[in-house]
Amino acid sequence: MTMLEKRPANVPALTTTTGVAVAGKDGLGVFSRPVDRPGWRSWITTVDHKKIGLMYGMVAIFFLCVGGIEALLIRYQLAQPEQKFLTADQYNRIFTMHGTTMVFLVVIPLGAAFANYFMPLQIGARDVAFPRLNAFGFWCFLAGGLFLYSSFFLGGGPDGGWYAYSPNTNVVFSPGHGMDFWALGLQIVGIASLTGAINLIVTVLNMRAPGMKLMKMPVFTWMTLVVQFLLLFAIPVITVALFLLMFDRTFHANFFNVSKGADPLLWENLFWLFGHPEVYILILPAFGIVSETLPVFSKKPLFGYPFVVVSGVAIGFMGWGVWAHHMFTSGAGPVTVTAFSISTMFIAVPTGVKIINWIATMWGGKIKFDVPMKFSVSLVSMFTIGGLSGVTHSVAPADSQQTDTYYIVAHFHYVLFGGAMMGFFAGFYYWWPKMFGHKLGDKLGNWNFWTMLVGFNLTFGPMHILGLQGMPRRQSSYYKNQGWDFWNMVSSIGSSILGIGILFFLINVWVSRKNPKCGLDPWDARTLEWMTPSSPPPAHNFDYIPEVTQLDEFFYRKYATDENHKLVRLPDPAPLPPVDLRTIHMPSPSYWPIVVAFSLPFVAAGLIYSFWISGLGGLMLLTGLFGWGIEPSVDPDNPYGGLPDAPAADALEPANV
Amino acid sequence: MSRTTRKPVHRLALLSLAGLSAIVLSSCASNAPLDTLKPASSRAREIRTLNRIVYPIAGIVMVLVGAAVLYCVYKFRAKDGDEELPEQIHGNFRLEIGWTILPALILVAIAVPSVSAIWKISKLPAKGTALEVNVIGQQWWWSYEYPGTGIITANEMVIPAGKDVVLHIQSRDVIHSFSVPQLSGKKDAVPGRIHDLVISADNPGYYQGQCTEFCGLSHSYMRASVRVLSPADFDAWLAAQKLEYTKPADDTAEGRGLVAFGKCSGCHQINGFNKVAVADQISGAAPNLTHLMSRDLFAGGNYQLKNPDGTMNENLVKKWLRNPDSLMPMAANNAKAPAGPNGSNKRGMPNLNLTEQEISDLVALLKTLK
Repeated sequence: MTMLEKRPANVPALTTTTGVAVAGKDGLGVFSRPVDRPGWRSWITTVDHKKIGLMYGMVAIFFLCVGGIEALLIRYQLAQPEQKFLTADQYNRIFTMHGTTMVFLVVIPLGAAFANYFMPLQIGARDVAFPRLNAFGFWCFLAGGLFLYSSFFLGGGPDGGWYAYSPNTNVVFSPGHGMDFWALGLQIVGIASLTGAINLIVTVLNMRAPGMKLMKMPVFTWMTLVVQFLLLFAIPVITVALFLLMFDRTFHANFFNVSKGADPLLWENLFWLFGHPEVYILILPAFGIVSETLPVFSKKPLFGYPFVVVSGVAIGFMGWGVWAHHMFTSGAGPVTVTAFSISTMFIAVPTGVKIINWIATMWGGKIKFDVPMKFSVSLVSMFTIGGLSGVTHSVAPADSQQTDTYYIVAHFHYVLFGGAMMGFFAGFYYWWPKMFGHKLGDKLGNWNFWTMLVGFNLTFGPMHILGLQGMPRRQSSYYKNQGWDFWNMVSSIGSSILGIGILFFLINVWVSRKNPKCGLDPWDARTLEWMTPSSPPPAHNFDYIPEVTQLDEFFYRKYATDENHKLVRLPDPAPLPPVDLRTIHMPSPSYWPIVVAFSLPFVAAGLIYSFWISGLGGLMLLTGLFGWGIEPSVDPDNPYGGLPDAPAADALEPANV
Repeated sequence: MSRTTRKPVHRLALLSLAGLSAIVLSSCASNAPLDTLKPASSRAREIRTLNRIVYPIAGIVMVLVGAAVLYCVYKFRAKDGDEELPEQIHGNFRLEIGWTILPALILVAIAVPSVSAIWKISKLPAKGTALEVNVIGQQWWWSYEYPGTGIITANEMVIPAGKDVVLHIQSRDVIHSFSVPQLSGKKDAVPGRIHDLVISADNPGYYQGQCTEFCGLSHSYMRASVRVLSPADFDAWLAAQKLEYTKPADDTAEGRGLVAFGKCSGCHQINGFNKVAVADQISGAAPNLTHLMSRDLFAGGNYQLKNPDGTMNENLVKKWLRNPDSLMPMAANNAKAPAGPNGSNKRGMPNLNLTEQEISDLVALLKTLK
């Protein structure tokens, strides 16, 4: 049925045919095979997709706070004209890292967090296809993020903007090490996305519960699949661009050296060929989340499921044909501009289809306004504003006025904050009971929602006006007589309110930790992740993998139509007998993913400072890969993945052999 | 329950009202010299016409979607004690096709005028009918060359009213973007490439602009200005710019200033006195000072060179000469920077540690550069 469950039979074979006990108590290597005990070690060696998802989420929220503080510094500097709170140099570094952080260290990882935790649950899998690779991806993300930020302590942060247009990022124009840290750090973070993409694609395609055809998958799983394909093809593009930049800066190559005949538009094209699919990588997970929450809180199935799915897939394809709209003023001729102008307009169609279907889902429902629903509804309305300002950009001549002004800043914050972040917050509140067994507090949740919504609109709404009044982006200060004073002040006040909103969330997380348990199905939900035998789910997720017969499987196990075609709640099914854990095969924890991942910053630091450090990192990398290679994915001494209540290995008869 | 659900509705309504009034207010905001909605040329008006098509459509869609969301939120809220499930509607094929085609049609309505405007705006005027100007960006100022006349000026471009002007936009170092919103859209200055942009201005006056592509440390201070003159005034300006510099006598303040100018002459040129071949800095040039006093702005176009009565604003110029960093941030003295294509690491104006005597002599000299 699923890959993992076939494998117990192979476990003894794997070790016996090689004839050597390659790991384990008396095995080879510096580390004895970890077993899953409570405590910090269980986190650094875990291969459990849920723990990895949680770690993605925690680190992303940490970086959200860092990036948020950077945003507040920016807004404080711009609250009034001609402020000297930050120097131009500091400002440039901070706005560069704000963008880099929010895109690469917050929104992508939050998407990865939700995908990791909930996609396997939604398809009824016990874990992802490659559990150690999954852990490796997370550690790469953390290692890359820390490496990126270490630049602030090692001689100045990056100062080239998150889009890093060459040749401004070449050594001549950016002589510090900041851009080296940037290029190499993102390279490491990119590995996380790339390995994650392969892993999750294989998982979705191979490990679905029996009966779950593709068109019976929940929309969040669908959007995860689309996003992973986008990552799979987009990350290599930025990888190439970053390598070219790194070779220019480190080895004096001439990919972007104009005096040797290079064309800087090479970077722009590579960057945006990655950068625009990236936009959909950022937003589609949130679309997936609200496609789950809107039906649950409206008590209706998603309206037009196949259309929502297909439009998501269509966005994934069309997203590859619009990148040059970031470059309407970069010197492209009218033919190119026309083509990309039109393609950009028409990507609004599938997006519009989604929005209308979400509204149709609410239509005729019985909507309960719990906090997740509030965030979901605000995604629908706020993202619409961002989408419509996007249509105004697609009109290329108008964009030649709007581009590089605050109008653009307003647009993509309505998309990424009003869209992606609102969706993620809906996800936090919706799935919190599944992750931790209790709900987040309602009262603080409402404070969280309203301050965020008001703060968000006050911060970014006025930027539309500022942009149309011509205020350029990336300005460390502005003059008094430009007519921008009032709205900048409003925006800065709004940003503080928004910051307080995020603070309410953190307080809520802390205060709610002792909330009473809320049951396995607190929202009367519709999808498989709510069928796990406990919240948080056990390591093996499901005692018995459910057989799927229809979309919203869980819902239709709870309700059936009576003779009057009315839905009535079925009696709860009789509890199943407790599962024999010996019949469940789980992957074993491993030290190697974190060893391999944390060798990469050393390799990278060596490229900046001294190749000796690279050598050290390389040694660590090789050791790690070798150790990983010879370590069987399943610990022969502990073939049940160290389940807390798994019987000791020697007490077992070989099951299923 | 119903009480808690109604409250958000009111707040949402209030919010959207606030949003609407904000947009209304913005249209009558006063005195924003970079305003993209106050065109002063045919091409900028063309763009505004597009806006007048697109914005109402976008506005209507926004209001419709917002209204539908608010209606759902209000009308379909769960009532207390009502545990019955609503009808489980999975979709409606015809509706779906309808609301796929409808936005597509709306977008076609937007696409047609957009595409026609793209071609109209990018069309170059016939050769010989327009004035041509080479617009060259460098960290962190714009220079303007008038091909065939030998005229080079900085920080403010001078053009005649009512005539098409073809700009050949270039860069000497990193990517910049030339933007004077009232006269037309932006165009990037990409090193190694020449991008053409046509601008014009209906009436004489000052039009403000700004470098809009992030170009390093002092990006915020890289301003562009266009001084539009009547055709007659423009001809007079052209003639005045062509005059060569005549060397002053040695024992005057200007003469001593010329000696002090030796420190500046590696980068700055005064026609007829010195010649900067390949300027000794990454950006390849510093402003040509031959007719400095014919300009109104200096230091990247950030500061008024002259007092209202037309005399030089000496205090400001002296401050600049004492330490350029005090008026706009410069990376000129970054010793860590590796040498650029020209073998130097200077960017922007360095602090030359001039003595007060040298500074006042230089000011005396600069005042004579009419």
